[in-house]
Amino acid sequence: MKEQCKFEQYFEEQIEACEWRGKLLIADDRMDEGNFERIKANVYEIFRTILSAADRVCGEDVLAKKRFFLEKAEQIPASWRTSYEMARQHEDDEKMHLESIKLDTVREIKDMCMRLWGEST
Amino acid sequence: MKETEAIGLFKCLADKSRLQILKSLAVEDMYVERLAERLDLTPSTISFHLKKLSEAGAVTAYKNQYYMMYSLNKEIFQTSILDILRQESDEAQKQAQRDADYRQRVIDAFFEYGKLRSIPTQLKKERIILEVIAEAFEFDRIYSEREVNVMIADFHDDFCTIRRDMVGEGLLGRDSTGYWRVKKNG
Repeated sequence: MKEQCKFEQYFEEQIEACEWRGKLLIADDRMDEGNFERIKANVYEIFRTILSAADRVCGEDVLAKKRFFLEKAEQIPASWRTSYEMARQHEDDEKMHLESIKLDTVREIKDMCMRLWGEST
Repeated sequence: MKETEAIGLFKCLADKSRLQILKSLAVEDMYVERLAERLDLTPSTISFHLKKLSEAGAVTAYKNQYYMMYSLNKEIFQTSILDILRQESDEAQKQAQRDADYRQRVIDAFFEYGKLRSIPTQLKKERIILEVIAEAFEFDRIYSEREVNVMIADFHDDFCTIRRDMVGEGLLGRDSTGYWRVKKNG
């Protein structure tokens, strides 16, 4: 339960930080980089929703919750990976960057999941 | 530079990071990692901006041993903003077509078999009508008032109003010798 709260708090903090950085970047006339922060914030939002879905579906079963969450963390970015690969083949640096922001954020979220719920759970 | 290209370039330049990249490239040609280090951005972010800059024609790339080097497209920056403003707009042709269509609609609405149905109350429409009537007059010829009246009467009975308005609109000139059709300037 404690881990669940920590995870929720982590998402809150990350979303807040992204929004803050995004505002600063846009105010500094770095519109695209400000949008990158919005993209990251959207990914955190998606996984925050998944966390509450995991809580609803799995209840107190931490192992099931972790499995549910990691499964989604594999499924959801699948299309992003495909899109990244397509962009790489077409040497589209712009698209590659946008997809890599999403993929890097998911990687970071998965790391946090493993840290909080442990490798062994 | 075409209008759409100019818009693309201006949009692209309206970003601090991209401007910093261009400032660096104005010093010397650089590769992604070097720019990333200089500007404290990730190489991926630099690549993102470079892609936009090359699409806008602001930078070009070339291979140098292991690295892809980027350089400022100096030619594009030598174009003055005034040159861009003086370029004929892509919209100009469409605007001219819209104006011609409007003019034709007014003519169709106010003329029937070469006769003017009524004098338009809107100045813009009246101007078009008067221009059509003015076409009946030859250039470089002096007309007496009577001749003018007769010619205008072919279009409409109120030749006095039309004659006066044609002079007022600068379509006909007038002095003690008579009336003449005014040539357009330019």
